[in-house]
Amino acid sequence: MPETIEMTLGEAIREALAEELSRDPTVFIMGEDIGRAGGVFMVTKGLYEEFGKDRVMDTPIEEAGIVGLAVGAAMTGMRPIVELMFSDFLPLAMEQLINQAAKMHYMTAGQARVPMVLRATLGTGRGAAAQHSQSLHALVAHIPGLKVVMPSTPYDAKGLLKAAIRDDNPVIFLEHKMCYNTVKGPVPTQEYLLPLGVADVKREGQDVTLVAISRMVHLALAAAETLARDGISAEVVDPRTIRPLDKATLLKSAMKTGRVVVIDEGHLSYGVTAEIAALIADEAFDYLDAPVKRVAAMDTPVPMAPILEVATIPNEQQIVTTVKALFGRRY
Amino acid sequence: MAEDIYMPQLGLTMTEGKVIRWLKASGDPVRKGDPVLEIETDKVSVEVESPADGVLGPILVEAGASAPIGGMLSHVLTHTPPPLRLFATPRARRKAIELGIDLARVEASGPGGRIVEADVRYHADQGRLQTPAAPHVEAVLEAQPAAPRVSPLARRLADELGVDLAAVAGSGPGGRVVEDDVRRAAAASLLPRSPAPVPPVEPLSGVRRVVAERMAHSFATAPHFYLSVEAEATALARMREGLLARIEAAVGVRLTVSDILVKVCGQALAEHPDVNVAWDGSAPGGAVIRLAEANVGLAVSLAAGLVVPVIRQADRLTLAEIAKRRAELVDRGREGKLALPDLEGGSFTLSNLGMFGIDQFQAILNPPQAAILAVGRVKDRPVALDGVVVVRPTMHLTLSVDHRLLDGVQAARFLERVAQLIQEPYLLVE
Amino acid sequence: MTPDKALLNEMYYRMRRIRRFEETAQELYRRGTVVGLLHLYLGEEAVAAGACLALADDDYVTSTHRGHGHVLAKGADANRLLAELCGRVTGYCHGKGGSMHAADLSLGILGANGIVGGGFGIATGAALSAKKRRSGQVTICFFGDGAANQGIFMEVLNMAGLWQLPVVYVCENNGFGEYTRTEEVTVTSQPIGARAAAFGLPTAQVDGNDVIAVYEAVKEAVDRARAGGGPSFVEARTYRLGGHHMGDVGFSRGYRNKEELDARTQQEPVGRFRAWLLMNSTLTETNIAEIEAKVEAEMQEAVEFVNRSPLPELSEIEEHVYA
Repeated sequence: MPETIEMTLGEAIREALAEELSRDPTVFIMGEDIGRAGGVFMVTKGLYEEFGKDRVMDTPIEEAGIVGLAVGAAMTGMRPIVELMFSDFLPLAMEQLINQAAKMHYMTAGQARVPMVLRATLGTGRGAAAQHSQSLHALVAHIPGLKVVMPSTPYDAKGLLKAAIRDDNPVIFLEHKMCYNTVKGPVPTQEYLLPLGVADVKREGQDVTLVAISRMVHLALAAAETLARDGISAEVVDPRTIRPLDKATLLKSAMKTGRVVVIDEGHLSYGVTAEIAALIADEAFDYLDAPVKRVAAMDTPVPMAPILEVATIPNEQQIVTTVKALFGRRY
Repeated sequence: MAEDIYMPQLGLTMTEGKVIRWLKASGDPVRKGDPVLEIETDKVSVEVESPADGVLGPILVEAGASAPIGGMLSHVLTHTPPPLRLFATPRARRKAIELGIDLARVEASGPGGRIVEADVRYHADQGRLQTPAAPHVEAVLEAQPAAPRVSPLARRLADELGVDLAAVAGSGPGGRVVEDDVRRAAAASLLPRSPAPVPPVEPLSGVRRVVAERMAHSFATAPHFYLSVEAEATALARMREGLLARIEAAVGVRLTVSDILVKVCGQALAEHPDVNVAWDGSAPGGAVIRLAEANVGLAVSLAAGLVVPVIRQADRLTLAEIAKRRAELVDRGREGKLALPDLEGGSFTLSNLGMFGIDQFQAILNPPQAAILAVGRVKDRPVALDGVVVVRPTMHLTLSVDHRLLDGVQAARFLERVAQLIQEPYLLVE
Repeated sequence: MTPDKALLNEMYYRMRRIRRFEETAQELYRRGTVVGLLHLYLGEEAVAAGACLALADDDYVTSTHRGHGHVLAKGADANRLLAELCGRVTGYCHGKGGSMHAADLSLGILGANGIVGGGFGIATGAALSAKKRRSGQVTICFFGDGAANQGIFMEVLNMAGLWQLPVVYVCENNGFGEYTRTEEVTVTSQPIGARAAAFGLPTAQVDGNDVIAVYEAVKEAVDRARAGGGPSFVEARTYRLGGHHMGDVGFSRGYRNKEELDARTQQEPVGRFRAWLLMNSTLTETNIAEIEAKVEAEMQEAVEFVNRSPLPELSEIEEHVYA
């Protein structure tokens, strides 16, 4: 038995789901088209056949209703995993997530627990236009009581999803739709979990810290390669969990390099990059040799035409240019 | 609040005046009544005083330029907090505090004109060549992680511009080659690249700047006079030949003519304490400092500029010791690793341009020293001996002397002895 | 069929208990001891009492912002409930939930809810959970005529009907949605139950002030659900004697009128049932007096409990954000 197997992000997620469904009879999946059809992105393919329609439920198109049901089921002994197809549909379920799921444990002073996972896809790249291409993690990251996880690699995805399913809190697990089949990586064959709230330094460096989220991690790594050829050593930090943030790892990197660029596919304004930038500017202030920069999606709805769509999100050159502008003549 | 400094009316017919020189720099603190600049009309020159206590603002009319009567020359900022805002990154500020550096003196190179950490470190490294650094600062600077000799950006630029890095002197921290150095080298390069229509102007920086300042100061303030003698070098050459192999075996260094000259000068200094003096300009009217040791500095030309490492107690060292020490110092100089103790305490300087084919030259005094010996090449020349012209190897020695400290006779006696020791080197063991 | 004496006893006890609790809370609110918002259940006691009596201890209920009645009828402790209203650390939610979020998970009370219609998803999910676990538990989802207009009502009806979930939707039509009369904001040409019937749910409509009628209708629905017969809908028509909340604009805004209130007060369910009991059952004045005294003692004790209960420490703020 080899130690690791190469697989795609989608496959890693499916494995996590299958393993948890096997392990714990209170776990079940519900969502639109996820059962018989195997999911619009084929992530749940085969699970319906393996576990049956009681464990892998095709639901009506009622985002508020299904998330609401998940809350009730989670409060009464089950561990539901709701799949929302596109994170753009989060607004339909916001009442259930923000006013019910996030707050039940608190309002009942710990009597109720809501151990549910809400999985959804985010990101551009499919020409799917404004209502199917958003990255709305900032909306849910803002809410105390929710956890938000955004893995970038198959290894991270499997370990984090298993942990999220076993977590007793409502966890929103966001997957980049363009990474399902194109991002590949080694995944251990032995069972493993990854803790929520712990970042991962994907590449060590000395001169600048690139904090990158979800698919942007791969962009940042490519930019780091380019920067290395120009003599700039970039450290790439992947928070992996957006809420709660692993402040210690982020600050340690910022204090080491003194220069930080935060890269995300959410909109620039009022987003997750602002939270990370503010945190670093506040707590690593005396170690900064340059202001903290953000590279994020433009503050516009996502346009359909691919030539327009790709221009609204960060690209490698943008990251490289932003980094270089942080250095003085004497570098 | 600011008080203006403007071109005053000096005479009834004056319409404009010329700025000769600024006595204070922008940002300097000034007191009311301090002379701030010199101006002249065609008839008269005058100092302009500061109208108030405060800090001098930007220079609006440079030296050499003119302004009409009433024209603004500068102003004095009179409010108490420092009027010039320093933009420095928090990391740079921490470093400055750690190293005890005044940020106002640090040259900024960061984006937006900010002082960044690298600027503070650069400044600290420059300072090591000029002024004593506190031990803890030395420790901090020593503790910096070893920087590469060539910064990665400089390396990439050198590739791009076709600059040979081996020939580029570094002006960065610890002699590191940085982007600026490569750009300068490229501009000065003789390789036919795309023709530059306008010769590039490079502001002086680093060692070269220091040298320029010191030379100008020395030449301007010390009244130089020069004594010259031609010394026969036959015995010197023979002595060197004889000692070459033994000294190389003993200390692994080839004995040079300069090494022997260092010994000679050291000896002569020890014998002529009136020449082993230094000028103290801080005392009113000036004063003479009598030096205890005969420390001979040897002028060494590095790519970055002129440095004068000192061989201490040259009179007491053997030739082998002098050779070894000289080699050490020169190596360190080449690596940009000369430390303050290597450069300070010199009584006298020896400058030898003989290896470049120079017959004779006059050196500029190395302040605050009293004298400097300029040595030309050893060359066969016709000399008169017993009424007949013969050919002998000779060298020209030119002593520049500070007339404030020595007069002709004292200097002559010293030079005479030097020449004698060269011509009769066995006298060194007297 | 008339319920037996023990059940009638219990019915009156629960109704009386709710009534006295609400009156006590009202008094304490006026004195400033009850803090936050207070939505009183006065006049609707028969619905909560009748419905909850049809449930077992481990069955679930979700409640509304007007939830004291449901919560008490399901068996909640009056001390802890009153303490919660008064923001004390001894309350059900350590003072952090208040009236609108009171809950006792050990009794299956999945919480009062501050969002109108907030209980629909939770109740239906609890029913889904019970079905998956084959536990035989049934859930009652209490909601008002106003909530019946929320979109999610339709969403859960579809799923409950589709999957035949063991849930009973009990709509308390009390004549008002907040500050507006029902008929001004809700289509009344069809009964609310028509919405549930559209999804195949059996529906019933009862006089919400008749505790026995409520009990019987809800029991039938609960038994059906427990037997695997799927969800049902019961509309209980009642009247909200109090304002929407303490401090309601009431009469000054014209949405309430005094004549109507007086007439309704005459028919209020607790007094009505009391009178009926004395006339039609084997309960005597003494029995009733005993029940009433017991309730009084409970209320007394609850007030004393509040008086000796401390306020929460500031450290409570950061507790329970995450499990």
